[in-house]
Amino acid sequence: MNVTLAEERGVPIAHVAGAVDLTTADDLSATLRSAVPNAAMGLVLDLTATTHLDSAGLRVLFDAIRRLGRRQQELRVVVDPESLVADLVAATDVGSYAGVDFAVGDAVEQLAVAPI
Amino acid sequence: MKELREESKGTRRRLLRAALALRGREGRRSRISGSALEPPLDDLLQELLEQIGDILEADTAVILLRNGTSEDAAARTREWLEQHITESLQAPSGRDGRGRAALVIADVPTADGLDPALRANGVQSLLAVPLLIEERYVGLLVVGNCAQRSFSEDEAQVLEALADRVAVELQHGGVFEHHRREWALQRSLLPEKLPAIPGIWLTARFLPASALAGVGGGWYDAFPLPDGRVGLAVGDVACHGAKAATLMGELRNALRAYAVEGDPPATVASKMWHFVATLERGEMATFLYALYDPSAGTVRFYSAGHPPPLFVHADGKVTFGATIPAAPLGVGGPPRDAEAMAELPAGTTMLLYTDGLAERPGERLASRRARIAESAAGAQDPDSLCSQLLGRLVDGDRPDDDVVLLAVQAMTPPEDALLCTVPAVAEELLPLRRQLRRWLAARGANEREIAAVTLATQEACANAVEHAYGLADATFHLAAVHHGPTIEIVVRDRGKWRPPRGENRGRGMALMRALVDDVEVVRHDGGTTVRLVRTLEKSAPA
Repeated sequence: MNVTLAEERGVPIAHVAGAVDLTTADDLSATLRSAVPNAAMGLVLDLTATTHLDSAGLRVLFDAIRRLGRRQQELRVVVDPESLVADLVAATDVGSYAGVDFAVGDAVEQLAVAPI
Repeated sequence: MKELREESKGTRRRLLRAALALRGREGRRSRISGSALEPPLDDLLQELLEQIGDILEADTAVILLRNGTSEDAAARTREWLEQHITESLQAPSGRDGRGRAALVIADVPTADGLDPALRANGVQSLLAVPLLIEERYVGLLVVGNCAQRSFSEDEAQVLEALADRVAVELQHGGVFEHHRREWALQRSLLPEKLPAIPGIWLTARFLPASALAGVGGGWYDAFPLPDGRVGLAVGDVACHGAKAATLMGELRNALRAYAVEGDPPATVASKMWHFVATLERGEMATFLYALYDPSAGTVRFYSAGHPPPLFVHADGKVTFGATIPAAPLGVGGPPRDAEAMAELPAGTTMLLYTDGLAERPGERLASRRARIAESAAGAQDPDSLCSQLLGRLVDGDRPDDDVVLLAVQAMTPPEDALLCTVPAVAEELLPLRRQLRRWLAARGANEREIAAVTLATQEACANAVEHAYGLADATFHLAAVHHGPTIEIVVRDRGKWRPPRGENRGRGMALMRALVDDVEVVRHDGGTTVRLVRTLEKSAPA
């Protein structure tokens, strides 16, 4: 698993490549925890390059939803609609608790603060 | 290929013998301290490692296990070595096709990416071979020298042979002991045996995850409810090890408490969701609870992020229950959606299962389900369904995650069975006794046998009537079936439990035991089930 942190229009983005499972879930969780500044509207979690996501990975996802929610911040998950990750996100109803997008640009759009 | 393997094994044995003969030729060299293994080695393994160092004239010999954390230096070293071993395997000179290969690094300081910690230890050259337990890769056995040296092909083969010894020690010795304790704990938390429910065929299979993963957190339960319905549950906890075992135990207890009133599955799941959420340990668990009504031939279920039930119909065709998206227990939010319902008539088998049954990294759910459906097709009963699935999908390999199967089917009663539901009042016992006598006579029972079985049944029925004391509309069920010459009679009451009246009940039990071959009394929340078995001297002509 490889996590790359980026920022677009003031929105923090975490690109997660590879497998998120029992051996990497804690790393991801720790990285996400430090990825979101207080001023941000939320976090874009880009899972389009995530090859495998098991229950430990889902737990990180729901954990992020809860942590961000406490700070009035939103998690937006980006998935490839034709992937196992998309299937799991749908089966566990992630969409009711976080935004789900199919492109990073769309997710950023939702979280970016409009220029005054 | 097999001959090649055998030959290479033989060669290795010879080399090992030669190497052992040479052992002790030289005195002990100074050794680098600090093993990279955790948990600590037991004495036997430690000694074995020292011997390996001696045999190969190495300054250090260490075991790098795969299930450590990915944080420390040892894990980074192991990952680096694994990657290079994999690359050398993919090269045309890949060794013996068994997925193992030795890796020689002659000059550690120039090996790009190898952990600085290793260099700081002064290791200049190393030889690494994979450790396999039951053909599964569990880690590496590495020997290293502080001076530059090259390891020969023969030495690599000796180390491979020694790796087999180490693997045996790892498997049986102390290293996997904590896993064994966790497994024991998990097993103790699963149902010891499934309840015997007349007319219902229940089967469960539990296949624990491979040694490396530890307890996988899969669990199941099945229990009759007071109103004759059957509660069936399967779940998967999203953590491993002792934590998983603890949580699954808590979940099973909570379920028993929440389900006893016969609440709808969505209500039970909601209570379970809040239960996990209030543990405040950030736990998550998928969970499916099904409430099966045998008399209506229907099942209602709620799934909290768990795979849907599978149905094998009487014609052998396979379908899946409706999947309603829902968050697992403890995360997201509590259940909101209504539960799903499905027909479950006699002859149809319903299977609850965990993901471990057919999980392949990256494979989409639809394709996974298609494989399960294909493997389940045609199964006639719960037992053959489970065997068929495990044989075709798991195939002897230890899975990476716990595999739990729980299958249920209402059996079509045989045409010559005697089945009746009787008001729980003493006046009903006489006509019932007459009916039973006729049925027994038709089965070929002689007068003595008819008298004995009828009296034993009478005792069981009297208990049922006694339990129902005070309930105006209480009934009890009697089912009499035969398997060849063996007669089986099950009397099940649903009355409220009343403490036994000491003496009388005790005598009733003793009487039943004297009259038939086997008496089994199961007390459950909803009442008591008495099972009587007697084999006749000769059965009725077919």
